[in-house]
Amino acid sequence: MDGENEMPFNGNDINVDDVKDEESSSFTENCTDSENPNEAVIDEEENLKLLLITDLPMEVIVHIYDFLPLVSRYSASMACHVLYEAFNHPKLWHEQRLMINGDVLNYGSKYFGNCTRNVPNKIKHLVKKFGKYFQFLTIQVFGHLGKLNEWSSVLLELSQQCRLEKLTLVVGKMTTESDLLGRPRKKGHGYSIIIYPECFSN
Amino acid sequence: MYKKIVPQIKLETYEKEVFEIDLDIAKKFGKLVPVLQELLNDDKPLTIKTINSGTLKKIITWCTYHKGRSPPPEDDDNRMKHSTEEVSSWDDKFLQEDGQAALFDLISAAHTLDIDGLLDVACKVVATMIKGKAPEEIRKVFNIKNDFTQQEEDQVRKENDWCED
Repeated sequence: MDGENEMPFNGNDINVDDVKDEESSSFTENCTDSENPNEAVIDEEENLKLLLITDLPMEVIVHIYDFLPLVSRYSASMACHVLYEAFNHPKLWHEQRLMINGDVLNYGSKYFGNCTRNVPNKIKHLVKKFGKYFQFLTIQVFGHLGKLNEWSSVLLELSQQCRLEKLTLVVGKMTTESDLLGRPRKKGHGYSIIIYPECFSN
Repeated sequence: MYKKIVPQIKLETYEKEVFEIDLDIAKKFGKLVPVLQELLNDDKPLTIKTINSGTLKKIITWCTYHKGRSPPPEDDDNRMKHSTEEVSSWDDKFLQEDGQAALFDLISAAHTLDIDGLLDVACKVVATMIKGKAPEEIRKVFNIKNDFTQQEEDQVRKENDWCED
């Protein structure tokens, strides 16, 4: 009976996209498993076991990390091997937002012109370690940039190793509170430039 | 011939209990929708052995409550923002009232059934449990054992302590 119910799965293309591939195949497996006469017993035992966070599919643990700031991801990664594995999962680092702080104080004065602040250590390490996984990158610029100074080497490193699908540059007049909180900008505060690499290959 | 006004699909759980679910509720089941629609005219239920009855009941309750409430639109700026602040008090209570293991059952089922909205909100609740805690506290909250050797632990710390800057 269960074998028959498996049919619609095999007959239909339910793979929405590549990311979901893994999931749908495990779904089909679960249905197929029911042909095994011993499975009822195994299932029962498994069902009695209370699920732990580490029993969740890796993709789901990574999704939990999506909602955490870097320092909390790190903290969780130190708890056990499974959570450490999720920290190193490429998918976790697909979307990134980097903020480049220029000269805000001297904006408009004749002394402006240099990105005075150094690149935070965290960003350097992030690019070095996970830059190769970045796919959707937003670079947000605050204040006035003259020379990029230290940032230029970081951006160069990034350009050499990552495979971007989409790059968004947010440039504008001044830092707004919304920007600092990562909220969408109000109209009239700067511009977003979105670059899709595939536009150039066609 | 037209005995049902609302089209329903049938799901059979691990306990072999069959649930009839209105199709407009099952529409939350992402990529499974075409499969379920195919089954509409079929009298046999779709068996999902990895989901137990209690969990499926919770899922139906959640989908019913959120019927017609579509998730907020994702614009490009929003896409980047992952915050744990947006869980409604209804969701928070609903997801936590049966304890942690039930929450993970629900997450696992939402993943299997491809219910994005439920998966997101449940993952946010778990993220809130992690946020601001030290590794030892996280182990305690989730009842997990430290399976690192001292050497491995030192290695992991050395590798990623830049995250703390």
